[in-house]
Amino acid sequence: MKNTVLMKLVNIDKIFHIDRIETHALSNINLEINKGDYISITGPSGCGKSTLLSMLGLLDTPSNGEFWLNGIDVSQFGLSSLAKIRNQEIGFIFQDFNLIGDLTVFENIELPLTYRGIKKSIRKEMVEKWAERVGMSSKLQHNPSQLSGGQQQRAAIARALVGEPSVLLADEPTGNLDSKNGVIVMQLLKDLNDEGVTICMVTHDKEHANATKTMLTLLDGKIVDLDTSNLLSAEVA
Amino acid sequence: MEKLLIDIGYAYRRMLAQKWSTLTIILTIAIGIGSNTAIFSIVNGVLLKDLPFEKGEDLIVIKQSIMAAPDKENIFFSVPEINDYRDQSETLAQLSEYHSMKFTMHENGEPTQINAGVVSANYFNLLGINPILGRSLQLADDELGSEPIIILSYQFWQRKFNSDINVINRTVEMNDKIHRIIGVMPAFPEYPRVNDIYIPVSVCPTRSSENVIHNRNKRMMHVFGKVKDNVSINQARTELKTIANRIHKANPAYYPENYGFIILADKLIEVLTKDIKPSLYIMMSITFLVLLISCSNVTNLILAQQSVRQKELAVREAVGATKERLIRQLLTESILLFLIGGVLGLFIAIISFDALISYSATLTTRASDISLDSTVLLFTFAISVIGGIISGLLPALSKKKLAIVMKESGHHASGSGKSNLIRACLIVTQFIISFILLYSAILMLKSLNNIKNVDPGFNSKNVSIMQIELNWAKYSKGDQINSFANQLLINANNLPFVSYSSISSTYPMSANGIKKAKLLLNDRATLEQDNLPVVDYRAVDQHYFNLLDITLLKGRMFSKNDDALSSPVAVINRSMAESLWADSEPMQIKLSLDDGESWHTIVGIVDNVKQHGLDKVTPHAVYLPYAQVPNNTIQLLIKKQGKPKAIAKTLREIVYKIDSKQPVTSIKSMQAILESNSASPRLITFLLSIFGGFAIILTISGIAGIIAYSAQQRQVELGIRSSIGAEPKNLIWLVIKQGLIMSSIGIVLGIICTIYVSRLMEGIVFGVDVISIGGFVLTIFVLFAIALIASIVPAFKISYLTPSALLRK
Repeated sequence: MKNTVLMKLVNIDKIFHIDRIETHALSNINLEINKGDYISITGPSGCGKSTLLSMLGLLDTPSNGEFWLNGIDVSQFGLSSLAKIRNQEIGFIFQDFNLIGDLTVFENIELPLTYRGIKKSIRKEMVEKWAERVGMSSKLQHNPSQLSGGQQQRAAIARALVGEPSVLLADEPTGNLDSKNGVIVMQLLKDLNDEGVTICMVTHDKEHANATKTMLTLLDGKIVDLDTSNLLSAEVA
Repeated sequence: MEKLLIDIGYAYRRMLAQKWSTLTIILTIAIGIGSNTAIFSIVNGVLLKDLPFEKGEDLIVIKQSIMAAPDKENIFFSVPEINDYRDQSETLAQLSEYHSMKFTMHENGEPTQINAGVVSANYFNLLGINPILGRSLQLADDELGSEPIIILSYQFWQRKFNSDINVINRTVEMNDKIHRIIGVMPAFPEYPRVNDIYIPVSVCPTRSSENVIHNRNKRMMHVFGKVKDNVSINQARTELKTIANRIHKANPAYYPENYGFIILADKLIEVLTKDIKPSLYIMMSITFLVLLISCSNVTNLILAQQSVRQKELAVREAVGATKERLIRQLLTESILLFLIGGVLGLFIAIISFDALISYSATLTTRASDISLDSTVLLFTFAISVIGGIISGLLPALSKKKLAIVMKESGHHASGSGKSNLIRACLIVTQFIISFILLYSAILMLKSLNNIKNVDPGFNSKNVSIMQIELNWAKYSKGDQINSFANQLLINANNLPFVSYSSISSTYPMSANGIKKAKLLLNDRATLEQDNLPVVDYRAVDQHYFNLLDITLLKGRMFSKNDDALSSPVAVINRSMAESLWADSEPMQIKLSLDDGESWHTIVGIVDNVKQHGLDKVTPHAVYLPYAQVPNNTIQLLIKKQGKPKAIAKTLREIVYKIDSKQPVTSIKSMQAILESNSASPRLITFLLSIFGGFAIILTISGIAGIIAYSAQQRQVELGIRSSIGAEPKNLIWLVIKQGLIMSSIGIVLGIICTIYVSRLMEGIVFGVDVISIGGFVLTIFVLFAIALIASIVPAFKISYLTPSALLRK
């Protein structure tokens, strides 16, 4: 199978200036993510995992370097253009779910489609489809505060996927879940990847990382290891 | 006490830690409290304080009026009438008379025009005032032929005699007569006007003349009364009406039934403060609204401060502080802020004090009672403490529960739903108040503009007026007055800067020199005469209409031939002609203003002139030739040419050339007179504009603060939205929408409140409908613009952040 490059990071640096102190969160990152990949990013706390995920998700802009998405260098794009790309190409799952408390589960899932300007009837159809896919059909009119952690994360996954993005980015998706719900969520991600969804996940959990095709390890803002053995075995399988 | 000191210590440290926020709060409080203290000092001095008289609440002013007189104006009392009421009244402990005269005093060589109150001997006794030097008037002083004596007013004693304590028994020359000073009175609120001296009735040549003493028709005296103990003013009123009926029946020739003579009695305190009350009520309302808006803003600021202190308060609670203890600490902080703001506000009040007293003095003689006394200080202290409690209590009560705070992560501090609701309500309140103030300011500006644009009916450009009150001892006959007036005109016309001049008894916008009389017309049947109105009349010479560009509509103006020997003529104004001769011709009709003693033929009609104020209705006016009705009050009107200097000095010299002992009362420009006519609406407009502006600034800062704070609270939510594709414009709209919703609610409620409040302005605005669609539209536009501006800054600030930065909060 020919690999299609979805994301390509070239010499990416990210420098933060906090109280006149310069912190190199990422240094000289070069990375390619292909369509259908399932990548885990691991490393100790403060190594730059979340920053790298933010770069991949266009939540932040690099200080230096190039970021190619679907063959287009987006590193110099403005906030509005980046928002449009995020809306169409990227789905996010956060450790603390980040559902909007004032909105129902339905409205939360619907939100990316609303920003995309999709008609209401189609939005409803898509929300219902993805709610069913993650097992949240019966909870659509609930508020996030009425849900368990696992349910909230599943709703967040539905919101991330409702726009059918090119890539799903997950930042410690099981970090706030008990083991039972963690397993459910990880299974869901695996199933999604099996269906062709590209996933990039930050995790502390070795076991969860081992479940991915590619394991990327960061240390002090640099990639120190890129283990693709699972990818190869997956391809063999 | 120790706990209080600890709380004050905490509060002090917090103020230092948040010095800019604290400074903003203190300044906001200072303006709110300062403006209220300033206005309250007037309210206290003018309305709340007892009159500085013995049993001042029992003092009444008695008025006699006829139903035909506009506004039931006082037509005063004659000596026989006063004697009747004095003899017959059983509800009044005392009854005293008063009228005013102008005298010319010759002290230190220069003639000075002074105001003299001519009073009966019991006047000061009735008021319960004792002299600070010398003696008061005694009954014997009223007897004809008694020694000419005078009592000095406190201000005149200070001004003219440098507070000389040896002034008693000194003699001064007044109107060619030597008078002995027998006493000096303390300062007291005088009515109806401020006088320099007081003299007994026996010293006034007019009052002591046989013609006045025995003539029931010579009504020229004000009457004051003091009701007996345990007698109400209503009882006194009833009795006065009964006496009046008795007098009318006994003297029917003097009280024609159709005139409708009536007796009115009002408390002196009410009469003294009648003119200033409407302005005071408006100013009180304005400053109260400003205080409300200040408190609301401060509460909001404290709420915002407190929401980031939830963790600190929770920690205090966790280590043992009770809920009451925490509330007390928060209250201590807010009361301390208000007390500091109150002290600063007191300074603001002190700075504005002189201006407010000067303004009050134009509307009441009680201005001398205005001071920053203990009541005012207590008021300032009270509103500081109450303001502190209100502004501190709301945030204190909206404090989150400990468990909730401890559950939240430290950097996710956010206000509770309750405090958010309180903040939103406070902002809505600010919008309501701002709406009322802004709309009122717009109305007043429109009103002031209307007043300025009123056609006064004359041209004030380059016109100056010199007023002279001729010494009646010297100029008692018509030919003497006419001779002086003619010489004055000649002297004035010889001045290089005078293009032409005129003599009259009055000038537009002045009540001085205008007389009122019941009109009689020779073209009406006897029965119809009774329905004719009371009209204004004044004396003017042949140049008056031309000098002031008053348009002649019909007939002729006066000529030099209309002199004392020629047949009496009159010119009337358009208002009178249209009202009384709607379908007929007034020319050559004869009118009488002295119950038929003399008849003036109407020879001309001139256009209306605003006589009593630009915002007042033009009354029926009759002009008589000055030479035919000479008057001791002379107004020399001059039309200037070029750019003359030292006009006043030159004009005085032309008077002294005729009579070196004749003082000049005043010299003014007509333009200044016109401007002073709109001084009161100007002040109210100024105050409304200032306070309206202040309210708007507070509202802007309030809404900007709450939007910024709310945006900060919603940062994570905005980050989430951004991460899933919300564009910056979506985020901006989300933030702005909140400001617009609050402002919309505030504006709608503001419109409703303003519709009610604006009715209070009906008597104050001129030529403006208090429900003005234009005014509403403009106010709505301005407040929406403010809401937009106030929201747009924090909204844009948020929109420039990357989703990552927003989520990092």
